[in-house]
Amino acid sequence: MTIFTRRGAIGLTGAAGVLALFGEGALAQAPARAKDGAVVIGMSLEPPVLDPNLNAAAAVREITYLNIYESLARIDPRGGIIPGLATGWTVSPDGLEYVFKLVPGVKYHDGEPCDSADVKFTLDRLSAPDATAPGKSLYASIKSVEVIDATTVKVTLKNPDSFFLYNVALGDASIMGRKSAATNGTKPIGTGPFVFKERKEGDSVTLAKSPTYRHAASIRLNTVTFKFIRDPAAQINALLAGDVDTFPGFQAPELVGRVRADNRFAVVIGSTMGETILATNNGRGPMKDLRVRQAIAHALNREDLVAGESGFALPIGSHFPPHDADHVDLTKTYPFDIAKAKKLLADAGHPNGFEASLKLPPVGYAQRSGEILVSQLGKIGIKLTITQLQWPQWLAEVFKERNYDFTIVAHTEANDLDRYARDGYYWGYDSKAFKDHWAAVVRETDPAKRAVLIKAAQKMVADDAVNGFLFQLGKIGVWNRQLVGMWENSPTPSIDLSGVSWK
Amino acid sequence: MLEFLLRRLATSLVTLLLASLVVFVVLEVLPGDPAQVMLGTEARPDTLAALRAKFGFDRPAPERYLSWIAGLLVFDLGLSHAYGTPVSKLIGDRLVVTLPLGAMALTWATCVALPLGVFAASRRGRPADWLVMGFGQLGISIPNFWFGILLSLTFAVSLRWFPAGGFPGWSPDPLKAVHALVLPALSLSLAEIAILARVTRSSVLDTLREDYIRTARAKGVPERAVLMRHALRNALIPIVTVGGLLAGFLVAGAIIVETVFYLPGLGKLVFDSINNRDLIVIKNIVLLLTGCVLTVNFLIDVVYALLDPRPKVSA
Amino acid sequence: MKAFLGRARRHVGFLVGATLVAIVLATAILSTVWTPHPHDDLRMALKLKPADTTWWLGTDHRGRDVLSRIMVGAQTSIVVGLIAVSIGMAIGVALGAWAAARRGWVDELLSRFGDLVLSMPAVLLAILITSVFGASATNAILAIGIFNIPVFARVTRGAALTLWGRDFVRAAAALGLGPLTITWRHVLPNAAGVLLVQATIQFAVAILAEAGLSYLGLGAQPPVPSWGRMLYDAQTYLYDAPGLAIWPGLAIALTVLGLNMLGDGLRDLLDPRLRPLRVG
Repeated sequence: MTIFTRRGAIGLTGAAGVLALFGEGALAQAPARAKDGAVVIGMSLEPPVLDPNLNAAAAVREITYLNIYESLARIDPRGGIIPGLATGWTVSPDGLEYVFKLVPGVKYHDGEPCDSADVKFTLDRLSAPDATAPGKSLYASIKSVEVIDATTVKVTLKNPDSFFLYNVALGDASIMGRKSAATNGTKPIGTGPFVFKERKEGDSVTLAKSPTYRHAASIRLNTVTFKFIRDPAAQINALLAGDVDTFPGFQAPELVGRVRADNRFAVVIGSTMGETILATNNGRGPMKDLRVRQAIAHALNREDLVAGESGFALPIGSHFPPHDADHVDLTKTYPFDIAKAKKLLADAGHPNGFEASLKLPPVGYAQRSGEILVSQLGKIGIKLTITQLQWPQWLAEVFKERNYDFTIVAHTEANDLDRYARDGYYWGYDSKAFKDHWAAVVRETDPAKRAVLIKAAQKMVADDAVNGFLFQLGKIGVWNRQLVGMWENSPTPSIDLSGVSWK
Repeated sequence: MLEFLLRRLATSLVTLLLASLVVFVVLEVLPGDPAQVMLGTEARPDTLAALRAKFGFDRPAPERYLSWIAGLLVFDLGLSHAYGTPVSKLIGDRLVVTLPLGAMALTWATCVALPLGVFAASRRGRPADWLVMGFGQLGISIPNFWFGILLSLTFAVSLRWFPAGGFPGWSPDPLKAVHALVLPALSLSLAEIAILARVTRSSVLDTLREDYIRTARAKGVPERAVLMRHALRNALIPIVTVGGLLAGFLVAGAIIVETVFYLPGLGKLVFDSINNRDLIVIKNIVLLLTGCVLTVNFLIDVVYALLDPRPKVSA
Repeated sequence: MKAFLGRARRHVGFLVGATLVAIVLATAILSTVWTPHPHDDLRMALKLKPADTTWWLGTDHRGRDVLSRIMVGAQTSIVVGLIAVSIGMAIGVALGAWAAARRGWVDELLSRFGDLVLSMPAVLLAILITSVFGASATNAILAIGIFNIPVFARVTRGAALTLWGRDFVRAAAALGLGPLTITWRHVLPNAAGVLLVQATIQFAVAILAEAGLSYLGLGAQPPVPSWGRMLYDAQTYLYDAPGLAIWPGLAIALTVLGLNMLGDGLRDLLDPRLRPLRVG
């Protein structure tokens, strides 16, 4: 676990830091709604349909996962896997058969029982040939799902998959009722501690405590309102006006000082899975040449980029989160060195640099880093022209058609080093060596051996300078000091409210 | 007379139909796949194709166009892809913010501009007239979004009299909602005041030249009464015309001001829908706004036709 | 010409407008060769400095000199406005003159086209156009230019229709001159005054529109400075650096004010009976 300090970031254990922050809360005040067990949570992005089986947006999971829906297993605040709707599971020695035992007597919010047929229904919904699930590739290893009895389910895989348990613990695999699934997009019904109450499109989603939840007594909040406020300046207005009690993911690092000045609020910096990279089209123009990519790596001044994030980010040297146990520090693979960068560029046949496009998605970190990178790469003669794209344009033009030279994007999925082994991925990186290596990672079920392989994989990607590795996004959590139990880190998209309460 | 009105109505409808075609074509070539937006980067091609088929994007364009228009004829705007809820509900929810905002701006503009215009006309060529006319020039030169930022800097950030943005909703406290709309309405009204004041001034000046005004003055009617009772009343037609035109454009003009004050109005719905490629929402909004302008224009022509029965060709 | 200058010298509005416009033009030209500091030099250590003797208007959130950026921003505004109006004028004048010369169905069709464009929500369509073709200064020009076409078409048509009814044009027609020649030799030169006035006012409108679009992120792309975008960025720092939100707006307002006063002044001087069209 990592806590970022005001300037730069250093690792230290979280609990002490957080306690210290809460300790000064003598003057803090809870809003009037706290007496009714109500809380208003600010979010930057609004979810579309509230069905995580069928929609890819992180905001859908943030609201629904662990609150409305549950999965067979769950991701805990440290990123580990613990039992969820399944009390436990057994794995066959060849790694091909998983048997899940469900919690007996669980009911959906509409009163229907949740049984193993629903698990089969959900997993089929994700993996069947005609499934339209965004996460279909996560569940591609599923061969068949069998109902053994009402609380026992057997999943057979086509091949051993060391990521399978993690994937069924995700919000993507939220278990849904056969009867209610079709309308879950607008009227979500799950087994979790909170019931969907109402939605005002463009404004808010409101949940209420579920009386039928199996641990209802442990749930302290009665009403939860998620309010969608996109603009950073509007986020701070809402916080200071007391309209919102917390922004679990505050989007404006430049305004953190303003929040800190108000002693009602605690600011807790945690980690995310977001590796922010200068994604590079390896299949196009000068960037095909390893020396050009190395030159770019040498030209990156991560200190300035992190300063651009007001210090709430950690420099990275490869595509791997620094807070993960298997992380190796590779930021010195190609240290900041303008002269060396220029020489590499000249060796590659571009003594005067070249012109290239930088297509930015509409997110704060990309906007902030974009202008800084134009300036940094400009110093070695690479002249970048910025184009700001909307997400749909980015998806079409950059991601699908690969019509770009550079872009800046944070890859926020867990275990996403596998992207480097994919054919036809938008970076255009095609390395037989890495593909073979990653296949070995997926097959390896022994954790110790797997860790060694994963470390080597990070180094391969860093050495090949596939992308410009910039920084790991920090999670800027802002909440009222009287509110306890919020997640500090963001191992998976979720605003888990089951342990949250007012002091 | 009736023939003129029918003809006028027909051309309005043709224009509206053309507008629907333009929007449809623009959205056809809009890059970005709504299915990919919903399913994200990990979606596989077959999954994307299946979702597109579910939305009906795989049907030929003329068929989709006709089914949209057919739906409109029975007031069925369809379902939003992003939210899964009826488009009419989405638009209705936002009009609850945007319409009061526009109404407040227009009311405020009228209340200020009419007296200002009459005052300037009565002081023609004197310093007060110059001042009002100068303000008029300034009013149409200041971008409304900058004026909004200045208002928020002064009355929200420094003085804290009003919220700097956001909208609390009409319930439970409607007064709070009105409070939140004050600054946006003020910034939206600046240009309206400037334009309306100029029109009022010149049209009052025009009527002041008429014979019956001279007669009234000769009869010894006090100047104040001449201005208010005779001149202003007869000058109202051009003023109402311009006011109507402004109202037609007000909703569209509110888009930027809503952005300045982070209001969840029609403007925000437009941006959200473009970002989600919720095409069905965008095309209905564009058509709705075009319809508003056309209706206002039509009504103005009707009023003119009623006042002046000679057949006329619209400009 | 001499008489015009003589009257112009006594017209306060014209003089103020002309001076403002001249200052903005001079600034834009000067900024191509000199600014107090480099306008695109990022220095995070210098961010949000208040105004002092080195940084006359302070620095922005990236440590860049605000005055230098405003000066270079004048280029963006003027170039976008000028090209957009030129496009609208070239096409609009041609269409308007054509409609007046041919009358009949051509006239009817072009009027409908004008109605169509002018009744559609301009801001919204501009947003859609830049979404289709991508956000850039070029596409902002395109979006603004399209809405200038019907304005110029209407003004030209109105002026040309009057002229076609005048004796000297009728005489030219009686001599057997073709409509193209008549339009070129007699109609357009006589409509030049009203077109000049309209162009000045449209220039003002175009600069406002460019500022609005770039405020929404749909105009010139960073790091190219544009006044609208500077205002958008400033809004995040209203508490810490209110000056950032004032100067770019003042630049827009003074430029637009100058053009509007210049336009109205020209109208008074050339033909006081003219009523230019005000749209948007």
